[in-house]
Amino acid sequence: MTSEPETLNLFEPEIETEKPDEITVRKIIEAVLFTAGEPVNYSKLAQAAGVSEEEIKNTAEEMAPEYLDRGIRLLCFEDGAQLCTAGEFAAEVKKALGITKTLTLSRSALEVLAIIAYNQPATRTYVEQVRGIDSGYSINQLVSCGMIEIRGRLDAPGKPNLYGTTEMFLRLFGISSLGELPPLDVIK
Amino acid sequence: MDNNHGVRTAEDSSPLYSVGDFSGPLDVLLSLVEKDKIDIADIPIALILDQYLEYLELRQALDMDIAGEFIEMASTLLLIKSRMLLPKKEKEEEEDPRAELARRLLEYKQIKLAVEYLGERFEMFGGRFAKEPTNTFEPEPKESDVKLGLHTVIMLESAFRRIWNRFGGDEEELLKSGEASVRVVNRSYYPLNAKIIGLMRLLYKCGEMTFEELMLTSRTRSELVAAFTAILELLKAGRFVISVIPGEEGEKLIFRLDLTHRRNRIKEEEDGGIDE
Repeated sequence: MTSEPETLNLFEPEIETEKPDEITVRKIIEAVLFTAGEPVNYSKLAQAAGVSEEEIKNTAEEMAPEYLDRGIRLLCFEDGAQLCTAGEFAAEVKKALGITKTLTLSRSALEVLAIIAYNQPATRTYVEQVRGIDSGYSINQLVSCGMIEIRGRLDAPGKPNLYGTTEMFLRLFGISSLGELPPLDVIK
Repeated sequence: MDNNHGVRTAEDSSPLYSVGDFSGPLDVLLSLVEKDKIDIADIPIALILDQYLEYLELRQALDMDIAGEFIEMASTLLLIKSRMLLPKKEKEEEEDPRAELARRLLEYKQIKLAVEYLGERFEMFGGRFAKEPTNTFEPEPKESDVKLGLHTVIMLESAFRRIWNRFGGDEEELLKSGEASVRVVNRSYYPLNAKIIGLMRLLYKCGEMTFEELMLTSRTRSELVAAFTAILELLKAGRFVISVIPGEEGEKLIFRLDLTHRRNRIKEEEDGGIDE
């Protein structure tokens, strides 16, 4: 295989290795994503594979549709990619593995999530202003299940937390970047 | 809102967050407005106020709690109604007293639509499982490590008994070493949470500690019970690794933190829903 350096020069460890061909890059991407489970940044993949970040991103985006007739999916986000199962087989996966619990979102939680998704980073006060009702419980639940995260603090009295959505949110809602969310005035 | 989100949950039945099927006062108002196909920009406040109050009365009659926000909305509506009754000054262009409410309702309506959209997406993609990272670089387990099982329970129990008896036998003496007031004042239960955090910090600092050392961070029986419970909890949660070394005075139980445990792991689906 051309991508493997034939000899290893111990005195010059930084020796230019031959650039891996595209098939190898694809294999590397898949291997890393499988091991990680979590989203992996394109930059890390690029570093490991020895190709540019852009090339990794392009390759990953090319690979994604190839998974459509399989049980797993390759998700491409803005900064990274992730492997996960195809959502339509959740029931079978759960049955086979004896998973009884399901992640459910209450209507209140969905409202909070929607407000934060469209207005992030947003404070709890903002969420409550839009909903007209106390939302601390839902916010905490969403944080603890990993759908939203604290992004920092607003430079205002009390330094309230700012919340934003996570990549888990993108995965579970089938979105690859926040820009994909339809504008609010378009949803009908 | 249709039901296909499968999202009617415990939280919705909690009076603090929702009254009946509505997630808040704005939700009630919006449904009243939409029911009569009213233009949000031109709400007949008197009519809506009556219907809103009727709704609150109904809830009350059903003996359901009404969150403060619902009352607040009633007073807002009342305020708007009374402002509308005031004669307008002719020259000054005053803002419609309903404008703020209309803006909020519109904003909320958009969010409701977004909820519908997101709910549908979640139906489709919410079942996407991602796996935990494969832990390839786990520190080598020690030979003396033991798996949790019946034998560990028996070992822990007898170790606990030894310390408990020692504690019971000359509790006076143990207490004498501390403040004399401890026995009198400290009648309350020692909080388990504090003990869990305390023991974890201790192990983090010290690396390894024996069962006795961990237990004898306690000064009262209550604290001793908390320490034992904390150890059991931490073992169960996989935060502690237990390792057994045979010694002259019987087996020595040595604890250390499981550094491969991902403390702030994002909880995945199987770890439980958001409404649990």
